[in-house]
Amino acid sequence: MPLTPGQRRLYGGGYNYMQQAWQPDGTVAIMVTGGKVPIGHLMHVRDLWGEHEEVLTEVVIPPGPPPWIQDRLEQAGRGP
Amino acid sequence: MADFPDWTRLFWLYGTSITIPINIESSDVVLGVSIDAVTADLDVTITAAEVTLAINFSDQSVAVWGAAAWFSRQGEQVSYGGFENADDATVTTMSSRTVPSGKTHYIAGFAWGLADNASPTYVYGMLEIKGVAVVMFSSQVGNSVTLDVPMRALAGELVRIRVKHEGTGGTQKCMGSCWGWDEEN
Repeated sequence: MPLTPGQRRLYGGGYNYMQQAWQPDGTVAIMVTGGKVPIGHLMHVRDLWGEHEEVLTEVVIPPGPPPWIQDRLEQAGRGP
Repeated sequence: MADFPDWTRLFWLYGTSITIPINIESSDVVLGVSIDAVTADLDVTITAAEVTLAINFSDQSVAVWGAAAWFSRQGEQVSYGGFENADDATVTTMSSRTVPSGKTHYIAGFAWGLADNASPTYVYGMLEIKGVAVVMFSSQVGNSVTLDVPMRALAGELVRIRVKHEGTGGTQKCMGSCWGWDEEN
Protein backbone atom coordinates (compact mmCIF):
# COMPACT_ATOMS: atom_id res chain seq x y z
CA MET A 1 0.00 0.00 0.00
CA PRO A 2 1.49 3.39 -0.94
CA LEU A 3 2.47 5.65 1.90
CA THR A 4 0.47 8.74 2.70
CA PRO A 5 2.31 12.08 2.80
CA GLY A 6 2.32 11.88 6.60
CA GLN A 7 3.77 8.37 6.55
CA ARG A 8 6.43 9.50 4.09
CA ARG A 9 7.41 12.09 6.60
CA LEU A 10 7.40 9.60 9.47
CA TYR A 11 9.66 7.18 7.64
CA GLY A 12 11.66 9.78 5.76
CA GLY A 13 12.66 11.83 8.76
CA GLY A 14 11.44 15.26 7.68
CA TYR A 15 10.31 16.44 11.07
CA ASN A 16 11.68 17.67 14.37
CA TYR A 17 8.79 17.01 16.73
CA MET A 18 6.35 14.16 17.17
CA GLN A 19 3.51 14.05 19.67
CA GLN A 20 1.52 10.88 20.29
CA ALA A 21 -1.77 10.33 22.07
CA TRP A 22 -2.65 6.67 22.47
CA GLN A 23 -6.31 5.79 22.22
CA PRO A 24 -8.24 3.14 24.18
CA ASP A 25 -8.70 1.05 21.03
CA GLY A 26 -4.95 0.83 20.48
CA THR A 27 -4.82 3.40 17.72
CA VAL A 28 -2.74 6.53 18.11
CA ALA A 29 -3.06 10.15 17.12
CA ILE A 30 0.28 11.47 15.89
CA MET A 31 1.30 14.97 15.03
CA VAL A 32 4.61 15.66 13.33
CA THR A 33 5.90 19.18 12.87
CA GLY A 34 9.12 21.05 12.27
CA GLY A 35 11.90 20.38 9.84
CA LYS A 36 12.30 21.68 6.33
CA VAL A 37 8.64 21.17 5.47
CA PRO A 38 6.65 24.06 6.93
CA ILE A 39 3.37 22.17 7.20
CA GLY A 40 2.52 19.68 9.93
CA HIS A 41 0.74 16.35 9.65
CA LEU A 42 -1.86 15.10 12.09
CA MET A 43 -2.65 11.42 11.64
CA HIS A 44 -4.83 8.82 13.25
CA VAL A 45 -3.05 5.51 12.83
CA ARG A 46 -3.92 1.91 13.53
CA ASP A 47 -1.12 -0.56 14.31
CA LEU A 48 1.57 2.10 14.37
CA TRP A 49 4.97 0.67 13.28
CA GLY A 50 3.24 -2.67 12.85
CA GLU A 51 2.91 -4.93 9.83
CA HIS A 52 -0.64 -3.78 9.20
CA GLU A 53 -0.14 -0.10 9.87
CA GLU A 54 -3.02 1.93 8.47
CA VAL A 55 -3.60 5.66 8.40
CA LEU A 56 -7.27 6.18 9.25
CA THR A 57 -7.30 9.95 8.83
CA GLU A 58 -4.71 12.52 7.94
CA VAL A 59 -4.90 16.29 8.18
CA VAL A 60 -2.40 18.88 7.05
CA ILE A 61 -1.59 21.61 9.56
CA PRO A 62 -0.98 24.84 7.65
CA PRO A 63 2.38 26.56 7.96
CA GLY A 64 3.10 29.69 9.90
CA PRO A 65 1.40 31.26 12.86
CA PRO A 66 -2.37 31.83 13.08
CA PRO A 67 -3.59 34.76 10.95
CA TRP A 68 -4.15 37.05 13.95
CA ILE A 69 -0.58 36.45 15.18
CA GLN A 70 0.77 36.95 11.67
CA ASP A 71 -1.09 40.26 11.51
CA ARG A 72 0.48 41.42 14.79
CA LEU A 73 3.93 40.32 13.65
CA GLU A 74 3.56 42.31 10.47
CA GLN A 75 2.39 45.36 12.39
CA ALA A 76 5.29 45.10 14.82
CA GLY A 77 7.70 44.58 11.95
CA ARG A 78 6.68 47.90 10.40
CA GLY A 79 8.02 49.74 13.46
CA PRO A 80 6.69 52.93 15.09
CA MET B 1 48.99 40.15 -6.35
CA ALA B 2 48.58 38.36 -9.60
CA ASP B 3 45.27 36.88 -10.52
CA PHE B 4 45.20 33.13 -11.14
CA PRO B 5 41.92 32.42 -12.85
CA ASP B 6 42.38 28.68 -12.95
CA TRP B 7 45.01 27.50 -10.52
CA THR B 8 45.53 24.09 -9.09
CA ARG B 9 48.45 22.88 -7.11
CA LEU B 10 48.62 19.35 -5.95
CA PHE B 11 50.34 18.93 -2.64
CA TRP B 12 50.89 15.23 -2.32
CA LEU B 13 53.57 13.59 -0.23
CA TYR B 14 54.12 9.88 -0.29
CA GLY B 15 56.62 8.19 1.95
CA THR B 16 57.19 5.88 4.87
CA SER B 17 57.84 8.66 7.32
CA ILE B 18 56.83 12.23 6.71
CA THR B 19 57.18 15.05 9.16
CA ILE B 20 56.14 18.56 8.36
CA PRO B 21 57.11 20.83 11.20
CA ILE B 22 55.52 24.22 11.19
CA ASN B 23 56.82 26.42 13.92
CA ILE B 24 55.73 30.00 13.96
CA GLU B 25 57.14 32.20 16.63
CA SER B 26 56.24 35.81 16.42
CA SER B 27 54.64 38.52 18.44
CA ASP B 28 51.98 38.79 15.77
CA VAL B 29 50.86 35.81 13.68
CA VAL B 30 48.16 35.81 11.09
CA LEU B 31 47.53 32.53 9.35
CA GLY B 32 44.63 33.32 7.10
CA VAL B 33 42.63 30.68 5.29
CA SER B 34 39.88 32.18 3.26
CA ILE B 35 37.59 30.04 1.17
CA ASP B 36 35.03 31.93 -0.84
CA ALA B 37 32.88 29.61 -2.89
CA VAL B 38 29.31 28.63 -3.57
CA THR B 39 30.01 25.25 -2.04
CA ALA B 40 33.10 24.28 -0.15
CA ASP B 41 34.19 20.95 1.26
CA LEU B 42 37.18 20.88 3.49
CA ASP B 43 37.85 17.21 4.07
CA VAL B 44 40.51 16.10 6.48
CA THR B 45 41.03 12.37 6.61
CA ILE B 46 43.51 10.95 9.05
CA THR B 47 44.12 7.24 8.94
CA ALA B 48 46.54 6.05 11.56
CA ALA B 49 46.86 3.61 14.41
CA GLU B 50 47.12 6.52 16.78
CA VAL B 51 46.10 10.10 16.22
CA THR B 52 46.65 13.04 18.45
CA LEU B 53 44.96 16.17 17.26
CA ALA B 54 45.69 19.01 19.63
CA ILE B 55 43.76 22.19 19.06
CA ASN B 56 44.00 24.86 21.70
CA PHE B 57 41.50 27.65 21.62
CA SER B 58 42.27 30.52 23.93
CA ASP B 59 40.16 33.24 22.41
CA GLN B 60 36.72 33.74 23.93
CA SER B 61 35.33 34.67 20.54
CA VAL B 62 35.89 31.12 19.35
CA ALA B 63 32.71 29.07 19.52
CA VAL B 64 32.98 25.32 19.74
CA TRP B 65 29.65 23.57 19.42
CA GLY B 66 28.95 20.27 21.04
CA ALA B 67 27.20 17.70 18.90
CA ALA B 68 23.74 18.19 20.43
CA ALA B 69 23.88 21.97 20.08
CA TRP B 70 25.34 21.75 16.61
CA PHE B 71 22.69 19.45 15.22
CA SER B 72 19.98 21.57 16.79
CA ARG B 73 21.48 24.59 15.09
CA GLN B 74 21.36 22.64 11.85
CA GLY B 75 17.68 21.92 12.41
CA GLU B 76 18.19 18.19 13.02
CA GLN B 77 16.93 18.07 16.59
CA VAL B 78 14.24 15.50 17.29
CA SER B 79 11.84 15.30 20.18
CA TYR B 80 8.91 12.93 20.64
CA GLY B 81 6.56 12.18 23.45
CA GLY B 82 3.16 10.90 24.36
CA PHE B 83 0.55 10.08 26.95
CA GLU B 84 -1.11 6.80 27.77
CA ASN B 85 -3.23 5.28 30.49
CA ALA B 86 -1.15 2.66 32.26
CA ASP B 87 -2.46 -0.07 34.50
CA ASP B 88 -0.77 -0.70 37.82
CA ALA B 89 2.41 -2.79 37.56
CA THR B 90 2.20 -2.97 33.78
CA VAL B 91 4.94 -1.78 31.45
CA THR B 92 3.26 0.60 29.00
CA THR B 93 4.62 2.46 26.00
CA MET B 94 4.29 6.23 26.20
CA SER B 95 6.02 7.15 22.96
CA SER B 96 7.69 5.29 20.13
CA ARG B 97 9.60 6.16 17.02
CA THR B 98 10.99 4.17 14.14
CA VAL B 99 14.25 5.79 13.07
CA PRO B 100 13.63 7.12 9.56
CA SER B 101 15.30 5.97 6.39
CA GLY B 102 18.86 7.13 5.86
CA LYS B 103 19.25 8.43 9.40
CA THR B 104 21.08 7.50 12.54
CA HIS B 105 19.32 8.71 15.65
CA TYR B 106 21.26 9.83 18.69
CA ILE B 107 19.26 9.92 21.92
CA ALA B 108 20.41 12.57 24.35
CA GLY B 109 17.83 12.06 27.08
CA PHE B 110 14.38 10.98 28.08
CA ALA B 111 11.75 11.83 30.65
CA TRP B 112 8.77 10.06 32.13
CA GLY B 113 6.25 10.55 34.87
CA LEU B 114 2.76 10.41 36.18
CA ALA B 115 0.22 12.85 34.74
CA ASP B 116 -2.36 12.05 37.41
CA ASN B 117 -2.66 13.11 41.02
CA ALA B 118 -1.68 9.82 42.62
CA SER B 119 1.00 8.55 44.96
CA PRO B 120 2.52 5.38 43.61
CA THR B 121 5.33 3.56 45.34
CA TYR B 122 7.46 4.18 42.29
CA VAL B 123 7.32 5.12 38.62
CA TYR B 124 9.84 3.33 36.50
CA GLY B 125 11.04 4.75 33.18
CA MET B 126 12.78 2.79 30.50
CA LEU B 127 14.46 3.68 27.22
CA GLU B 128 14.21 0.79 24.83
CA ILE B 129 15.92 0.34 21.47
CA LYS B 130 14.93 -2.52 19.20
CA GLY B 131 13.26 -4.37 22.05
CA VAL B 132 16.21 -4.04 24.41
CA ALA B 133 16.02 -1.89 27.52
CA VAL B 134 19.15 0.23 27.34
CA VAL B 135 18.54 2.69 30.18
CA MET B 136 16.26 2.23 33.18
CA PHE B 137 15.56 4.55 36.05
CA SER B 138 13.03 4.86 38.82
CA SER B 139 11.61 7.51 41.11
CA GLN B 140 8.36 8.12 42.90
CA VAL B 141 6.45 10.21 40.35
CA GLY B 142 8.84 10.66 37.45
CA ASN B 143 12.12 12.12 36.39
CA SER B 144 14.35 12.91 33.44
CA VAL B 145 17.71 11.55 32.45
CA THR B 146 20.25 13.38 30.31
CA LEU B 147 22.63 10.88 28.81
CA ASP B 148 26.29 11.81 28.92
CA VAL B 149 26.85 9.09 26.34
CA PRO B 150 24.11 9.47 23.69
CA MET B 151 22.45 6.22 22.73
CA ARG B 152 22.49 5.40 19.03
CA ALA B 153 19.66 3.84 17.05
CA LEU B 154 19.86 2.94 13.38
CA ALA B 155 17.37 3.42 10.58
CA GLY B 156 14.42 1.10 10.99
CA GLU B 157 15.00 0.46 14.66
CA LEU B 158 12.16 1.16 17.07
CA VAL B 159 12.84 3.43 20.04
CA ARG B 160 10.32 3.38 22.86
CA ILE B 161 9.85 5.20 26.13
CA ARG B 162 8.05 2.86 28.48
CA VAL B 163 6.73 3.42 31.96
CA LYS B 164 5.60 1.21 34.81
CA HIS B 165 4.06 2.47 38.03
CA GLU B 166 3.23 0.46 41.05
CA GLY B 167 1.43 1.09 44.29
CA THR B 168 -1.79 2.88 43.36
CA GLY B 169 -3.65 -0.25 42.40
CA GLY B 170 -5.35 1.53 39.54
CA THR B 171 -4.92 2.98 36.07
CA GLN B 172 -3.00 6.22 35.87
CA LYS B 173 -2.30 8.59 33.02
CA CYS B 174 1.44 8.60 32.40
CA MET B 175 3.72 10.37 29.99
CA GLY B 176 7.09 9.92 28.43
CA SER B 177 9.30 11.78 26.01
CA CYS B 178 12.66 11.49 24.40
CA TRP B 179 15.01 13.86 22.64
CA GLY B 180 18.15 13.85 20.58
CA TRP B 181 19.12 14.40 16.97
CA ASP B 182 19.30 12.68 13.60
CA GLU B 183 22.37 12.43 11.45
CA GLU B 184 22.37 11.60 7.76
CA ASN B 185 24.02 8.26 7.06
